[in-house]
Amino acid sequence: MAMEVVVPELGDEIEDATVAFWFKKEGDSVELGEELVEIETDKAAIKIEAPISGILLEILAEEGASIRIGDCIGTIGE
Amino acid sequence: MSRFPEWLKVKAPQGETVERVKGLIGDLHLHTVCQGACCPNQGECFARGTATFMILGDTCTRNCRFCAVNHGRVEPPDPGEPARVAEAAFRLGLKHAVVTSVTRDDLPDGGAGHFALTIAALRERLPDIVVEVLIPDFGGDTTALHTVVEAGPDILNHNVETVPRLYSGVRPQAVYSRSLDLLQQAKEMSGRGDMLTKSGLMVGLGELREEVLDVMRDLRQINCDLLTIGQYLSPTSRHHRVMEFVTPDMFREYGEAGRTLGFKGVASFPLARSSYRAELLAGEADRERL
Repeated sequence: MAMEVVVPELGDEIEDATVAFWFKKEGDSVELGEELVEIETDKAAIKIEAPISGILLEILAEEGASIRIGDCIGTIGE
Repeated sequence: MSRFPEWLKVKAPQGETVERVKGLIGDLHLHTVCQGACCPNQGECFARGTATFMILGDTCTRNCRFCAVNHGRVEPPDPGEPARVAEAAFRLGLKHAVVTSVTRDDLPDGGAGHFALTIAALRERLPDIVVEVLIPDFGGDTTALHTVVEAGPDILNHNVETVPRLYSGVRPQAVYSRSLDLLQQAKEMSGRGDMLTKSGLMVGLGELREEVLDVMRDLRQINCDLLTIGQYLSPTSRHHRVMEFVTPDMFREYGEAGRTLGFKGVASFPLARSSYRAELLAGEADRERL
């Protein structure tokens, strides 16, 4: 079963961010807790880790894309 | 290409412990400065099971140009809040609790009584806990300050935030000398000498090295014990710009200068924040005292 990579809440005022860099490409295997994607808000650069081990099946927001808190930006599965 | 240097990249707030901390804060209808100020260390601190409580609501009566906390119409203090802060500290298993607040220029005592009640509630629920308060300037009201000091916090923190030259652009409703006076008076009021005073500075706002050193000297002049220095990060494009990313080497230099000047503990690194790992800075002072 695939698991969504979701942009977590980052603070009361922060609603959106930008995808800065994917450390993995589609089809790569990832380990739980491994750095997966870096996003940027006005305030900081934040590294999101893989929520499970598996294969990065899809990237749903490319580098440079605007994203919102709660968005699914990728999926990890088997 | 990232806008941020490598030393300012942080872990996202995610994982079971983060969710547990956020859930507990939400269930108890509390606020944290971690969330209110969109703190970059939130992921790390929540994952460690800690948070810094922000009492007296989530809306501030001041509108400082560096701060992400909401500004606007405020609610009366919530009389149940002190006990709920103590309950949260208990459930989180905190040994060192940091309590801060929004600034409440609307209240006759600036919220000092509510601070005192929160300190008392923490002491009652957790007799061995170290209590650190990070207070506003109470508009220079010494009676309000006395109320907080009388309640017996272990550490009293009040941030000068920046060098005096930049006050008008960064914290226009504050006064540098008033903040210094508050720290000095708090020290004198505590009398018994075991309450530590603490202050902090953001750098990267356009200050000069010599100005930072002058602030450190001013703080030592009034016997301030602990110091934090961290990189200013702009919450949104509506806030004060980051003028410079100060290098880790420069932070080290400030740290060494602070220790040479006699601070009992200095946390000077890019992601240092007033209450980030506050127990470690307090521990430095403890070692000094032994």
